[in-house]
Amino acid sequence: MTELDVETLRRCRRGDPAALGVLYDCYRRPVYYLARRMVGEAEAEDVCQETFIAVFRAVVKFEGKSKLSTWVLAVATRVCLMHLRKRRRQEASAEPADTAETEPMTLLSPSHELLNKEFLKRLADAMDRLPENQRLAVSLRSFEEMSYEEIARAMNCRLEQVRAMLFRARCRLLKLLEGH
Amino acid sequence: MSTQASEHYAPQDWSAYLDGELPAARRAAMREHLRQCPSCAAILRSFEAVQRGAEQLAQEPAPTRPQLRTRLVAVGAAVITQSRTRRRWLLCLGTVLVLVILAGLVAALWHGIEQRSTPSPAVADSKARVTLERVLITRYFVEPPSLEYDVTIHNGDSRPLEIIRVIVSDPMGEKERPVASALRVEPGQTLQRVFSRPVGENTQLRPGSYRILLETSDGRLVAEKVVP
Ligand SMILES: [Zn+2]
Repeated sequence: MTELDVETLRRCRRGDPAALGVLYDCYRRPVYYLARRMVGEAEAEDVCQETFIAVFRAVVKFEGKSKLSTWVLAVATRVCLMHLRKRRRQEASAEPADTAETEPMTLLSPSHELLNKEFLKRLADAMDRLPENQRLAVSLRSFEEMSYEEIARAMNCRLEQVRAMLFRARCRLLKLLEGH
Repeated sequence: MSTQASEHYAPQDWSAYLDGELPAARRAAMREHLRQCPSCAAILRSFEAVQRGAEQLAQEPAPTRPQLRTRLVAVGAAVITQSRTRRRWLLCLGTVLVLVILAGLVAALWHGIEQRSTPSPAVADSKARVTLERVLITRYFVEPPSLEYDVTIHNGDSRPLEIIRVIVSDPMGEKERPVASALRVEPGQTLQRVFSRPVGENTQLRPGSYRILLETSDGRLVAEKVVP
């Protein structure tokens, strides 16, 4: 993910529409990806909009203590979680528990045509079937700049939990991919 | 070199190894182990396939929505300008208050205190009007929630309407709060604006009367909305 240059950021803080457009173009793809993974296609656009309004509102106060990209993703994370919470309240549906993986690990056979279109499609489907927090951890980890520490900050949890969530998510993904 | 189970690294270690989230020494030892252990290498390879796949999915372009982009950017620019104006206004407020009090004291001494302050007359002959479309509380997570007044100002007059000050009041706050200043509506023009003030984290919209008051060059325009 590219970072916004200092001058553009400064113009954003002054409310310059052209600069805000650059910010939007810069982070639209990652924000949409996160939203798509977390709330599904139907609501992804809503989450995207809400995220950018929140980002525009708060960019005046952005102090640059973290990278802008990780900050934007943290805002998007919170908007996603809000949507999911609201949906759960409406549907009164329970989120599948994030249980520890006890079964033996599944590995991909070396013959697997890795990273082809078919594999990516099945991986996306498998990701949609992960428990919420595992899905969130894996989605955030899809971005190079999101370290465990950054993910922990965005998810408001401990670093050790991030480590465990990612491990469990990967084990489950492998199982889902193999069971296809 | 034998690769007995006891010598292997745990799968969770390979997951962290993949993420580069291990101390350098441990990382180096694991890399060394990897060269001699096909079963650990297979675990790492599987994790890696999943990780690279997710990274690739994240690279896929998002659907483009040019109209949405235009609207979002416009809203963003308005929101930022408004908050900057508010901040600057608050800075000036202190100074202005002191001056007003001083001026008031001087005037009172000069004229005697026989004149009570009277509300300035409504813009009786003006064709300007303001409508309070709705009031709502919005939450944006990154800053305190705000109480927003969605307002339409229409100037049916033949001269421009200069709005000097905007004041909102609500059942939660006893005081009227100035929120923005210096706004101009050209003749025949209709302006849509959102005025807001920050509220506490757990504030809900209470029933009661919400008012917006525009102080203009000719007097004042008032609109009210009653929340049942
Ligand atoms: Zn091994």
